[in-house]
Amino acid sequence: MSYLEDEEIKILDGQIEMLSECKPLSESEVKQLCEKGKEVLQKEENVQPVKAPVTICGDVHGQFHDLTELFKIGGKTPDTNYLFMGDYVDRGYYSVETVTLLVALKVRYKDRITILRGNHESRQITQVYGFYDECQRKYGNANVWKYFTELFDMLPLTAIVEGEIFCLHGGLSPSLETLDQIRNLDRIQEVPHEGPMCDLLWSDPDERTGWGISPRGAGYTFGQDISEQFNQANSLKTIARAHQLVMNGYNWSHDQNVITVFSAPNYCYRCGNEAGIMEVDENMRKNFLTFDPAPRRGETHVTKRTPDYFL
Amino acid sequence: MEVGFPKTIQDEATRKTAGDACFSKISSAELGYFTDGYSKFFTKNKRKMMPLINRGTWTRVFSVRTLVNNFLSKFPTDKIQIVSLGAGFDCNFFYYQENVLEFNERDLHYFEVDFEDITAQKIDIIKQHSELEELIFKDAEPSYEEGMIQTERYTLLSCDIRQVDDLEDKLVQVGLDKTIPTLVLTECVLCYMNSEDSSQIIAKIAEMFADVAIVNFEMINPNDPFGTTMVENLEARGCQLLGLKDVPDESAQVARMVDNGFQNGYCENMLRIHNSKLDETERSRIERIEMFDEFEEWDLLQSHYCICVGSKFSDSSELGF
Repeated sequence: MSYLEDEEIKILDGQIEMLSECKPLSESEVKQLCEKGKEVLQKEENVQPVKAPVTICGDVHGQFHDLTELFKIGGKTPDTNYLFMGDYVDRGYYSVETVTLLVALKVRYKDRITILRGNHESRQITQVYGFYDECQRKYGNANVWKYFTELFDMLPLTAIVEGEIFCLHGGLSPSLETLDQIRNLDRIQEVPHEGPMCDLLWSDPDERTGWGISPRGAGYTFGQDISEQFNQANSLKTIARAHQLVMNGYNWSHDQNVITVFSAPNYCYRCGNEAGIMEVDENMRKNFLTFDPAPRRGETHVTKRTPDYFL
Repeated sequence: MEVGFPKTIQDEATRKTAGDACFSKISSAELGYFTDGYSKFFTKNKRKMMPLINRGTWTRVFSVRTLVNNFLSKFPTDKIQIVSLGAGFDCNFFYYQENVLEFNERDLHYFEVDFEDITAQKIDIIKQHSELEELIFKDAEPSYEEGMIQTERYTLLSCDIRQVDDLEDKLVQVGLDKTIPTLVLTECVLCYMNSEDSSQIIAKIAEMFADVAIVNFEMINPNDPFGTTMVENLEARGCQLLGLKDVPDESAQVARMVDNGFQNGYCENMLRIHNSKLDETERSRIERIEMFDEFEEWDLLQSHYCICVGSKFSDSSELGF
């Protein structure tokens, strides 16, 4: 922990307190935070080792108040260790506050929280799905978006909990049979349109066996045979991933070889789904907690804007 | 007994949905999903919509246009009528008139009916745009009667369509012909009224014409978590989906048609229509327009909308995709 000066800790604690109230930092504060964040993140591995106990979370997507609810239910950092599997930004109304808080927590407690890269942590997709526009709106320019997307290039792609649970945002890749192959990827770049790095962030498990073409236009679908083979070859018990909305917050598939965790309740303020997180204790036992959307107190300006329907 | 909001508040919120439909159409038309050069005249504001909404708007517009097209070719020589109830700011008439030869050259009449203030707003906007006037009046001098437009091919008039006898009287007065093949369109209209009212409207249409089909696009499945959230979200803006309680799914949609005088009913949710009923070349073209990463939500949203077609033709045939 000694990598932070006392003065830095004081500043960070103040920033985390502010962010916890959903107040964004100034542009220059974000710049500094991202510099420090990049330093921390680039030292991490493509397959970042993580110790149990840890609580594993899926997509958050800018739903800041629901992230607050998540910390209420799962426990505060650093009392609870967390592993987030990407997709912090886009879609929700508070991508800026959400990703700033997570990065601030990462910098403050780097061994207590792991943040992986999701397919939305990319320059291209944030320009379609809201984070870019939100930065423009909240800061009047795209600098903050630039700082964050530069930091996104440093985020680790996957993590492994005690050698047993392999965590990543999307899924497997036909070009990657072993963890060592993942360790050898050069990840410090924008998410490419195709190839192994892209697949890890975009792929989905499927009922059909083997590899399939993904309707998403990136990544692949992979069947139970592929998951079993991968787990066996790498002495893994479980693949934990996020990326897909599951109505109950978590969903086992591929005969318990794959668990999907999704942590944005009532996704996009429209889907009516529950959110889930997966606690893994020191004996590697899994426990699932689910939660509904946070009551939107003091958020009246948001509830006024109904999500879009066809009318 | 009146349940929920007073009728006037519900009606006001329903009127406002005309503008929302416009937003979505402008957004997807500008990206090239379909041709609609005129919705943009009907709202001052513009908003970039999510790819999911753009794609879903395309499914809606393209499905309705496909069914209109199929109706045109079903009666290749007869004079025909299209009646759009609760038309709002829909611009399909302008689109057909400008872009669809089979429509433009046909002997037909297109009626649009909506609340008085919506009709008045539509007339105001048409007056301000010579492009629209030209499509309606062609070479003739534009002329406006009190609260309505009437030409040889196009009529825009106001009526609370729940007053079905009044609706019939008004349409007949402006020249509706009960003896010729007629297509009635109701897009997001029936869902905002209770099922007694919507059943009456459907029964009236079946009773009026010998050869008629109705195309109804609206929400379904209000009782699962997505549906409950949809009902709550729309209620939060004052808009109750009054009709969904009694007509909650595809089979209830079909039953409503059949119980009220239609011979055949067909209903599918918009996910199935998108995946299996629409032109594949066109579908693969629009699927390339925008990056799309909303698949689970797409499935949910599309399975909460449907198109129901009721047919009552003297040769017992059906209108379909």
